[in-house]
Amino acid sequence: MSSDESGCFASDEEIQSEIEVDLEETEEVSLEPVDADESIKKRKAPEYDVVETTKEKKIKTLHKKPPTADELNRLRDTESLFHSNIFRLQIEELLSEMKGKEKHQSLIEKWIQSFKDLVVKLPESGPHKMEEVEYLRELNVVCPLLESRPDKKTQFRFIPPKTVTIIGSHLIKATTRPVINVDIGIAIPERCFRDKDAQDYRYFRKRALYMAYIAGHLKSTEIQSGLKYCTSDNPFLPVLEVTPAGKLEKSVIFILRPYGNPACFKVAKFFPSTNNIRASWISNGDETNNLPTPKYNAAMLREILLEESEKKRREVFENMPAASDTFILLKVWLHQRNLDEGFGAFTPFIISMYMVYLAQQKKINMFMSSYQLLRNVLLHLGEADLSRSGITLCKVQGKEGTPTLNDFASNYEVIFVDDSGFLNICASVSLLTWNRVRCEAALALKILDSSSGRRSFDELFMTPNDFLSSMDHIVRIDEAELEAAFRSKHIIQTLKSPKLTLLDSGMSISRSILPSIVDLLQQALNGRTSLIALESRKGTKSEVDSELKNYEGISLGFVIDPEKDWSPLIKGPEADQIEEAKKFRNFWGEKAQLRRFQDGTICEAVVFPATNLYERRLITKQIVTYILERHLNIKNLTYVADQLENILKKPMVENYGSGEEANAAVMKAMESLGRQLRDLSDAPLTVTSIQGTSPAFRCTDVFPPIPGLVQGDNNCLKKKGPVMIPVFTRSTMPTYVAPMEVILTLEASNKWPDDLKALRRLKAAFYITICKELSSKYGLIAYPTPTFVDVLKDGFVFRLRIAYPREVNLARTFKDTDGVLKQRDTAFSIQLEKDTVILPKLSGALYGLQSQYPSFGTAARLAKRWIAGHMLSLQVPELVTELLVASIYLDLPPGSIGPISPQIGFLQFLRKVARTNWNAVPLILNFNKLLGVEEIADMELQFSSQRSSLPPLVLYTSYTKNPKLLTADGPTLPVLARAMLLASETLKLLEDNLSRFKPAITDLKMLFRPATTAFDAVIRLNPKMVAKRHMNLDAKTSGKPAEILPLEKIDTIPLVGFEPVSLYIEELKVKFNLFSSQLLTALQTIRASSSGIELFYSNYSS
Amino acid sequence: MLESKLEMNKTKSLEVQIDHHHKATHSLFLQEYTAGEDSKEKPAKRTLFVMNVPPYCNKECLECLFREFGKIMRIYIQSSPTSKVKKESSHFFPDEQPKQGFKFAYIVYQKLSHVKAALNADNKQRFFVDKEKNYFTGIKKWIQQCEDKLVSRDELQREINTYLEEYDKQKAIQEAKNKQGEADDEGWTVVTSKGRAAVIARTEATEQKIKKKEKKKMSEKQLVNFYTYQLKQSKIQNVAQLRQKFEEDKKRIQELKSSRKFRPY
Repeated sequence: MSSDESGCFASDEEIQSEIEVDLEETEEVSLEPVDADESIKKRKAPEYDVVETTKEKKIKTLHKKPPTADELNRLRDTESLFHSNIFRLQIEELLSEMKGKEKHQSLIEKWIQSFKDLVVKLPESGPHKMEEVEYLRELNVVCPLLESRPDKKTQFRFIPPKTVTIIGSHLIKATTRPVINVDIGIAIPERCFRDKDAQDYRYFRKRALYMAYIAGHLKSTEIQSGLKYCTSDNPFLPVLEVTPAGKLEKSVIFILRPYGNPACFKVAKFFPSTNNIRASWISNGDETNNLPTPKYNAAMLREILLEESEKKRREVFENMPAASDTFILLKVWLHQRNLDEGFGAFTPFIISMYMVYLAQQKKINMFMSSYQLLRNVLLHLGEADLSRSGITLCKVQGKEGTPTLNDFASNYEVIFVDDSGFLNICASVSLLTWNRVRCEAALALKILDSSSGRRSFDELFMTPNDFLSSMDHIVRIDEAELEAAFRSKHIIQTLKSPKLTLLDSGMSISRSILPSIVDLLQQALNGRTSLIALESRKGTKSEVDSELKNYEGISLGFVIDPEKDWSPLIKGPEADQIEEAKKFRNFWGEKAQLRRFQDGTICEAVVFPATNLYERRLITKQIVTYILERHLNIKNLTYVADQLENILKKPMVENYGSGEEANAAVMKAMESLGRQLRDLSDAPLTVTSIQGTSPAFRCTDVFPPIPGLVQGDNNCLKKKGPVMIPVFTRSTMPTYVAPMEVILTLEASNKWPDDLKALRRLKAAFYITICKELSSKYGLIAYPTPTFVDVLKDGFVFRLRIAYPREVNLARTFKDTDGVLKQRDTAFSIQLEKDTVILPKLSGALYGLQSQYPSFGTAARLAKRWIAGHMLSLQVPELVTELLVASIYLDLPPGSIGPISPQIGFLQFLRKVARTNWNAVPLILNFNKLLGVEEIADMELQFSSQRSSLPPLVLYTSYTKNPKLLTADGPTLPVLARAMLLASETLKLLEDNLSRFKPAITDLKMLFRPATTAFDAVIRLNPKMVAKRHMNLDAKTSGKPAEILPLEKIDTIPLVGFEPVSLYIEELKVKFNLFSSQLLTALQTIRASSSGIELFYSNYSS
Repeated sequence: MLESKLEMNKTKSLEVQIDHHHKATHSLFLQEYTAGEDSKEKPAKRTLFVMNVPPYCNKECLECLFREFGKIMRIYIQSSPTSKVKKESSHFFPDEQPKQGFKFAYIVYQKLSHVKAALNADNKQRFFVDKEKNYFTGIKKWIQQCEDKLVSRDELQREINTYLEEYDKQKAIQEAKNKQGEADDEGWTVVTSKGRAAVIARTEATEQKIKKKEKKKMSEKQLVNFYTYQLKQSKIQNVAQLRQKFEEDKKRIQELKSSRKFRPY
């Protein structure tokens, strides 16, 4: 035994700097999620019990007072107007957390007054030519607009504004913390504009210059501490963000929005289909036909109609007392789903206007509570169809002179017309975003209807449901690739005039190209996806003296329809439909080929090869990559789907994929062995049930066993009877073969003895009989021992044990001193119950979960690999990790098909570990919905009343109602705290990496390597002596599969379950336990690394 | 720790090395064995009590270590100090898992003087492992264990058969005993002082059942919601329950609040 204090390697240094896990932090054990700091320290006060009893008495007498009218009203209200009592309380808490503080209100008003005084007195300036920059340069600001064509005729004048008012959500008391955004509207005087400014970007340019001028003068004042240009959801209309100086600095941001005076322009000029960017202006008269500029028109109209719509919204909200609260809730709901800002977003403004629409339609009214309003908005949002037919606020449909809904439909993707009848509020909303909003709303309603109050609240408002975890696959295309794609032949063909399209989308390439990309993908994927979604990113910001740039880059997410996605074949039209066949060939290029199908038809078809499940999961990736390259010339895209799966790959075997097939082979062998076992006739009792309890039987074995024997191992094994035993050599150790544990139940009989000792012997007698018959009847090699029988079947070793249901009962029974037979749990009976009753049931349930959600097993394997990678596997039992992963799948919202890619399941697992307050909530796994609402409530009650005597992590399942059963021997508090810390660090790196256009870490294996700095001592082991060396994360590979002895040549049971490392750990445990004497608990963990196997242990003093 | 608990004047500490290659020593603590009750296996006057026996040390090791002081009759290694001697349990079916960790040993010498000699031993170098003997550690040991665990099917069968035969015999005797009191074929009953077996099995479950029944009987006798005060009380109870639930919910919210559960982002 050699210990090494330093214990770190060059290769590990990098990791240590990334995953900084400080032991000192873990010593101050806290069970809160990492971001919440105040921990459970307050939990136990010494006189707690005494205080409690007097309090209880008080409470009891209080409960018996006659009720007051107020109280009764409240109780009745809760019953009729809210989901449940707790939901109401939760909403109230959330609102108080989100609403602005009273004390800020007067400060905000004061600031605005001083700003107003300042702006009104600004000196007039100009006229300047549009290109003139000197006066701006003097102020040290730039014009925040991307479009900058020379314009010699127009002149810009700055005239100070007359009205400066608060607009937006602050006006209706619906601004939200942590940073309150207060919108300030600055009306640009009419004299600044002329009639023709409506065309060719002149208005937008003047507006931007006006803003720049104000910014320049604000710069030198003391009322602000920061100025930034910011692209809003509309690229034509950048805004100026002002951070106030003084007390408000951290809690408020003022957003300045200059807008043109309505009398300047006639709304009729901005019909959706009119052209306001003239071709002559774009390209000096080359293009003659003036195509419509719908987005440009909508942006103009929004400016003109700003005041009116604000007025309208205010009227409605003032009449409805709960509307502002509902609006805040909806804002939070949208924000948690990342739908409310950035490119194509469904902005809070839109949703508030939707509430106005519902009020107008009499769907909601002033008597409703915030909960009822929320429910109604979600209900109608889920059913609304803004994409095809559209809705309008305009009271007189088809008012004289206004465009028809058809006019809107041909120019916009999403249609929601305002009350003037001219403006489409949703002009800049992308169809993809709207689809997602609708799906989420429908889902939210389901959540509200199905689960208990507490859970549904959390799911709706508290859990960030971000893009990364709600999409199965994500494709990311960065700016450079988009620019190249914009010049591709396909785009030039589909867009009639790319230049005009670019101008009409505010110079944003992403916005102009997105519809074409989505079209292509929809055609190519053809039903494989049930949803394509667009990731919205926050608008870009820049200092006032540097150019403001549009955010470029597109991330599209796919929700995959698992039923259709598995086919590697895309069937096209029949060969004799010449026109369509030609189209098909054109689309798929050289991949298209003629194929004869079973029904005799000859069709055009495309095949994407996939030999194993891992590859089949990625057919979508193949299709997307191929099509985008073929049509848009996009070569370097980032596809998020399988980044983590190579951690499960095993180079020893050919075509292993990520191991699902290997696992299926075990199941198959087990099934056939099961049939043989049921057919045994010599044994006095027949086998009635056969249940596998090894992880492989629930598809969660990190490395499923490989049939047969590795050829090289022959040198270090010798035959002895029906089994192999190891031979000592210094050069190698036989490869580890795991036994597959199987529990047999025999038919009922009253002949079993009542005595445990006799029972054990009788079981052994059964083992011998089973063994004899298996070898005589089926020629299987089997080997009986007193406690099990090993059987070699199809190259796997199955370890059969007989379970006798009454044995647990017998082990619990003892005779008390007064002669009464009593039942008490003993360590032995608990272990027995766990192994023979609970484990088979849980294994069955987990296998059921796997067949329902195919990604479960692989996600659980990733999670187990991660736990082991961070050297926690000795402290966190395998089953606990699996159940943690299972909880994610069990908690899925109703009707969900769960994540398709395993890495999303893993990501959710990390979130669960890192962000749950394990001290406050138990984990309840309701397998097969066996637990009723009352049982769950009982469990929660038991949990809160007995918290201090329960383990740090508490698991209840449908089959284990004893909260201590599964987690009593781990994880301990320090281990759980460390796991949480590691999870949050890993999560940070992983999320960051998967959200980038170009991943920062190319090898994600580093997330699975441990940080060794936390350990006091490191023991290095000789890698050759480790039986599991092939499972090493960095196992050296020769590149070709290992030679496996053919099955027919194996005539003995291989060496099973022999692993020196765990034997070594056992010995260490025995030796250290005596010295530790309760004060020190040894945490031993092993880890395989390239330079050897190391054994780490550190002492946590408690 | 352990050492401080011992009365040092009576205790001898013996420093022992594992073998010639390792210099570190391990202390064995020796005492003269004095038990309350004198047993045949461990006679008080001739037995040496050894503490802090390391896990790797077996009977052979102890024998080669202590035979220099006199002729050894028997050696017992136990996980806790008792005067009793454990019965040898079956090789295939040990009654309990062998205890790991540090143990106690009893060495029975032929004479008392041998014990005294051991207690007065000098401080020369001593070894747990004899030079000639092969003692395995580490991987070699585990391989050895692997080999030791091998089971011969026939031996196993034989052991099972003998035990079960014995068990069946015992059972038959027991049953014969229970049968006393039942009438035989000709209608005669053997009467003994012991009488018949109890009618109801005395288990916890049955006792609880009886108690429950009693309680039910009692409650059936009472009138519910009969008097006005009872009605009034049940109403008060109802409101109290509602309030209690409200309070509980509030408490839960308070708990969640304290863990900052209400700040969504």
